[in-house]
Amino acid sequence: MIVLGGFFARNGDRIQLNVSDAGDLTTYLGVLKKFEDSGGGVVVSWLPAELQSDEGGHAILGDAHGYNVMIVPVVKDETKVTVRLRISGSVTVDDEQTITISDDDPFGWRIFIK
Amino acid sequence: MRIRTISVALIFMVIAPLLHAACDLNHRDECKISELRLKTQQAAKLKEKTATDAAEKKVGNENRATTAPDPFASRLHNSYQDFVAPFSFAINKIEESKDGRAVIVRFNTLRHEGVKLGFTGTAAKPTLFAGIAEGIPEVQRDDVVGKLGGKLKDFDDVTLAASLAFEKKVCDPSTSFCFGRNPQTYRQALATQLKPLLEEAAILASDRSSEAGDLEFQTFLNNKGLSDQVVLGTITDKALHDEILRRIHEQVLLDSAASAKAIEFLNKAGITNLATLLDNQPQLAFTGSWRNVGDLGGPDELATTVEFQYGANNLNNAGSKLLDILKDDPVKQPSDKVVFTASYKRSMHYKFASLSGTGVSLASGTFTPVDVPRTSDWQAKAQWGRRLGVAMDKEQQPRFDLSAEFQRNGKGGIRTKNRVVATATVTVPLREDMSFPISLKYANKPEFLEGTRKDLSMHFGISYRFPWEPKPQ
Repeated sequence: MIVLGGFFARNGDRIQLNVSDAGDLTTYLGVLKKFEDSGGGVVVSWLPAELQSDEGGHAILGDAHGYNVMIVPVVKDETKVTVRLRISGSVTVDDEQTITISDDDPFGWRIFIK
Repeated sequence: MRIRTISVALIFMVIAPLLHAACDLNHRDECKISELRLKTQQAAKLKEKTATDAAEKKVGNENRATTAPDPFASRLHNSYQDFVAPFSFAINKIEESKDGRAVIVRFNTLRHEGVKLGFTGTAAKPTLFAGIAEGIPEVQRDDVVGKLGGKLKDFDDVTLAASLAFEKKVCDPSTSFCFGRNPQTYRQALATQLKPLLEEAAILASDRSSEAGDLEFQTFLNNKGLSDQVVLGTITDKALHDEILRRIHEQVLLDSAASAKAIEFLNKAGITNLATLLDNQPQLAFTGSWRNVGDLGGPDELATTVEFQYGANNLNNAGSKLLDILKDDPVKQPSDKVVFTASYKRSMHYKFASLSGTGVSLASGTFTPVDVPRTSDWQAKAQWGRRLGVAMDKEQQPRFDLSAEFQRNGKGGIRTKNRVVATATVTVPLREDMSFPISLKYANKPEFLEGTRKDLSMHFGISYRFPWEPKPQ
């Protein structure tokens, strides 16, 4: 996973993921994956239509060591993608980044629960 | 004095974040910790890719010409930028050609019921028609051509083009027949079908060791009163500064190892075959253009084309079994490909009787008038090909291809060429980079075949693909 950044948040905080420009990606999936001692797994996944809407993909963080908010891309040719993560609640985060994608390596943020 | 100090401080606070330059690994201290980590990971990825592509790039770069682009496009673009601004609602993009000799205006695409209609306007650098130059007595030619060149106007070579393609904005090939190869059309449908695969890749891309390592790294920063949004150069404690760099490299190795697992998993699931399925989607497009050349530029031109392409191994045929098709060996999938193109081009009758209207005169002698009759050119080409089911090698199968070409030219209403050539080719692979093609050609007139006086000829030879050329699909 290509890590765009890491943030600390709390149980009950709300996250929102948007893809403002998917460039020439063939397709992609937004995934919220939690991690904990027992392993963790996919909490929710979002399709492109949800991620490109104003509301984006959203979820409430629960009790875990942390979460990965990821985009799993399928790429044919190198392309630029603009993604935005917002966290609200105990912290306020608004991070928008444009990243060049050249292979199918997932990318996104890590959120650690305090 | 105090007001001035406060104002300066406020301005600094506003512009300081804007002055934060893009992260560069050669100036690590100017990067935020998160940026440095991202750049380090991307650089490691790039290094891997560069090593693979090194040989190809070397060959490519040696042959690349380095000529400065013509200033025409940039001058025209800048001169009319303000004039174009009120029409920005209708314009999608304005581009300058790579050689700098043309400005291309792309208008917004119109869509209706699965049909996409696009318009472009191109202003190319006008040139004097060769026939006019030839009509000037040779002793004065260079001088007069130079003067006539100065009479050419910016919009003396304008082409207006329209293209119509069958392509819906969103289409699901598992429930309907879709046209076009634009990935945006299929994004939602593909993500729906690939969801289990992509979710599994997400799990692999962030494994326990990379997550635990990251938690430790972020906690370390947190305990030091830092976050990964801190600019590295602001950390004055050298030991802490170096420890952060060490931990970044350690974490990048963990993340890259997890990434490699995810990519390997997707490759094994055949995700790379998806591009082939997309490229084989049926495509039907019509284009028409009108080129208006000024009085000194030669004949105006009308051109139309129709193009149809289809490959049997496509998303429509995969339907709801996409995951199975991707995983399957591509050699086992149907390999039929069909391409049909037809075009018609017409150059209008062009007359240029004298230089009198141009403001340029000859010192002596007379100008030879130009009279170019109208010309027409019809061309059509149809191709069909498939791999043969003969098992020679798992990777290499013989191919059978059929093609037919038709061309009819006319000048001043009189037909000058009527040509039909059909070819059947069997290509037998000898090695991965070498094959043995045998072709049988038919032409309606023997002169269209090389080195034969009959209307049928046979050719065979050896075809070799250089190591840096891409493998044929």
